Amino acid sequence: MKKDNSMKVMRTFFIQFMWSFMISFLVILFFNTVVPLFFTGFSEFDFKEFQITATFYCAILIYSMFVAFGAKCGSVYFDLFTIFSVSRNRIMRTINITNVILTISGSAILNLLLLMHDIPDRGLFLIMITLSIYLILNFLNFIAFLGKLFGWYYIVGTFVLLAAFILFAINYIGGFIQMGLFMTEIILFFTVAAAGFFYINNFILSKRYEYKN
Amino acid sequence: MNIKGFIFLICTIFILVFSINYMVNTNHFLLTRKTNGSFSGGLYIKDNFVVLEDTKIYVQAFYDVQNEQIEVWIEGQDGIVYQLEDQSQKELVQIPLSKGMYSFIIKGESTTETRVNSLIGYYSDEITFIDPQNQEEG
Repeated sequence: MKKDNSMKVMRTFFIQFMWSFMISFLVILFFNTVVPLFFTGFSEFDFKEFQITATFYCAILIYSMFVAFGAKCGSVYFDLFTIFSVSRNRIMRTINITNVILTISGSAILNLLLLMHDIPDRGLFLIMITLSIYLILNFLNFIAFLGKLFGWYYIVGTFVLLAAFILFAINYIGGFIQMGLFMTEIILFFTVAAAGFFYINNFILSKRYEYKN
Repeated sequence: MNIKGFIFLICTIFILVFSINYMVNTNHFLLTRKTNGSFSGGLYIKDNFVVLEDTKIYVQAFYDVQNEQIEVWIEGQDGIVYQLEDQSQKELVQIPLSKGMYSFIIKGESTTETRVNSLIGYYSDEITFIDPQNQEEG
């Protein structure tokens, strides 16, 4: 049986990609927490505030990193694997496994960071973070495929449609964030949407994909 | 030029403009009204609101001290429609309301500093809160 190295290659891609984000995160965190202490004095250091800032920037780092990586998976890395004659099924399997690994590790890091804070409903945070990361990764794979197959008009159009959808769902989003309402509807939507994008990516878009120089 | 793509883009922009127009015209937004504060001595808050059509509101209210003298309730023309049972209960309660005039009331007496929180969620086109300042001006 032929050895499958695609996961190993994807892991190398991700680690190289991750460094630029990690450095940006550490620089931003340093400038927002340590640098002000040079002016106010180190006795002003508040560990509680540092924890909040670190968690906040880490959440931004993870989400922005996964958005960019999800988009690259469906476009640049898919092309690279195709050049090296890796079959479509194997590429999609690699992307799917990567998505699951990133979702689990990202959610684990964020939820462990949240343990430092006194927040209610930790279970809900766990479910929502996991589902949102998985949905974002699949949605960005979808966007990347769409752009590759049909052109940039469809990417912009999809984001315009997303804005319209958010407008219609504004009461659900606001109700959930402010009062914890519509929990079932939102969890159901995240699950169905992630499954929908997974299906479209794996069984429709990737089948039509051809590498063009 | 990708004609199909361009047409798709124009169509999506139309959909977005239509959505903005629809949302602004219907004015059906879930808004919140909060009371977060503390008091010692006496407290009486009466927040009047008008229900324009049959709807529901979401209410969450709690206070921190074991004080039996704090009462939170909503009363309408037909009597009390909601009363806070347990001060530590932070669950959101959904209350159906029929058309009419209602008041959200918090009444209490405390010798120590007591924190009171309330959160009301309502739809902007179905419920209007009467601001005392506007009432005087009107």
